[in-house]
Amino acid sequence: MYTVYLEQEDSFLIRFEHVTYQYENAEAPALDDICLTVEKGEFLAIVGHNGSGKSTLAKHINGLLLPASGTVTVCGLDTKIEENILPIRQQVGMAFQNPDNQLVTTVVEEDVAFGPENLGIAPDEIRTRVDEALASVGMTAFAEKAVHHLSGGQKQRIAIAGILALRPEILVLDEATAMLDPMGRTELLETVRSLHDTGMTVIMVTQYMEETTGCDRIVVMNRGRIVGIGTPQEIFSKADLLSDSNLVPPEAVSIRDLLKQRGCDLPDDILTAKQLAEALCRS
Amino acid sequence: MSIVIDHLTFAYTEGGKRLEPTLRDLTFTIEEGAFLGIIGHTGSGKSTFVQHLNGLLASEKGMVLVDGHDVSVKAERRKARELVGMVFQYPEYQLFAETVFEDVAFGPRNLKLDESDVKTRTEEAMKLVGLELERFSSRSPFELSGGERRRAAIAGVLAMRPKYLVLDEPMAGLDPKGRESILALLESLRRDTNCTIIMISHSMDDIARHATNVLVLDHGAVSMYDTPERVFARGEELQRLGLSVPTVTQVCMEMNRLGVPIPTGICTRDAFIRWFTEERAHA
Repeated sequence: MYTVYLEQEDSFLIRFEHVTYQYENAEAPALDDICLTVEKGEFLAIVGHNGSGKSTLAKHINGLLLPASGTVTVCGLDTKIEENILPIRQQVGMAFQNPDNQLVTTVVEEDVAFGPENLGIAPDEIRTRVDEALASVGMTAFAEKAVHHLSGGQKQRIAIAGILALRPEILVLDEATAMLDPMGRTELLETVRSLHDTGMTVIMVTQYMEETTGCDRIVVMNRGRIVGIGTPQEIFSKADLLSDSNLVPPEAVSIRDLLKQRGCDLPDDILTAKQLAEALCRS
Repeated sequence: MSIVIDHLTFAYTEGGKRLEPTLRDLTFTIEEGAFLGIIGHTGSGKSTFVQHLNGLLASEKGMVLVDGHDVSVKAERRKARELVGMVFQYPEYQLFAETVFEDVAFGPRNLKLDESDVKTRTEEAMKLVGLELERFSSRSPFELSGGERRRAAIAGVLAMRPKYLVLDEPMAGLDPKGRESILALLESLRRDTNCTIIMISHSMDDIARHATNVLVLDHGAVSMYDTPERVFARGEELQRLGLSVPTVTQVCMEMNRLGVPIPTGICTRDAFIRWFTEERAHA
């Protein structure tokens, strides 16, 4: 029994056990008895209406918020134990909504080096990490550019490079695409996908269902509770779950369902415009 | 009546130096009753342009006439500001009063209207945005949900009874249902009060579905100004400008690429499903 338990511990990077959290003066808990495990290398999306608790959940992963009851364990470390907070934050990088609030210096490479410098890492090692981090977000050519001349999407990629320079195990994006234009959003998502392809565990909180179609699993939140969890195909085939949670499926899924209602034979795993076009050409 | 934009050119200055023009020789007319969608990538001049519509920014060359009133002439600007209501990005950050009613009433009260007129206009505006009087009047704006706060902020502008309503990304940061409720509000405003809507948005699906006209700005110049059908028929050009196209247009472009000919200009769900059912009836 004991060995089985240990093996499970190993494969789960993040574990929420009956986590409850309530903001001061709030009428209802922001998180209500959350149980969730995330595997190493997983790409998990968290969706839900404004105020559903999805950002609150994300902020528990690096101990920005601590559970009122229940336990959050990250890389085997309990976030409630104060000595664990620093090692946890080194493993969990977090990107937020506003690109302008996350950059601290004026030159791109200085900004990426800021985190490692604060950890007292040797200059040679910092150089290597900065170069690698800029390459992974496709911003090498901008290393010596001024931060304020970058677009929103580029700023977010620099913020992520700054996180990568700390070599975290987990990347958490809390509505990081919300203030970007479509181009910036596409750039950022491609960057995140390529990081995931190289083994990074990614947790992405988003308001845009289109962004979740390439994830491994989607968590649907409503009033502080997890009301659905499954692959994008599973989640977006549950019309009632989405509508009860104040969500709407990606546009391609809505079109797919309207065509099916009119007798068109289409597979249920269509989530994107490209997949829909291909299926229609075959039918 | 209409808003006439005639050879409008504008450049910001920095440290006394004139920068590259942000708006270049814009000439077109926004007809009363239209729903104009404005698209363009970040930095294309969208927000700068709309700030000319009520004289918040003054053109250096060219003119903006709102129902014949020249906004660059001080005496006429006042009238233009009565006609043009402006909803900025994240307008809920500007809520400040103790109750929703007082916040919405702020504008009319500044017009030095009788208290009974203030009350009529405030109630009317709250009704238009779907905030029930009994439930919301005496609540603090800060107790509301994200979507409700956004609607309260819009109500404050509507209480001025604008003939032209300008909105800069009114759906940004809202969840899917919140976005739908704002769009439904704009549609009902047009239908019930004949209010002209001028909306900047990155959501091509929303623009395709709701706009009667689309303005595409590129580097401060008019790149296209036409119906959504004709604008989105030029999908490849839009993509070269760094813009996306509606999901339906993406499906059509992909099907065309795969060898299934689809007539150009299909950019909404309804149009696509109409085409599809007719096509099948023929087959």
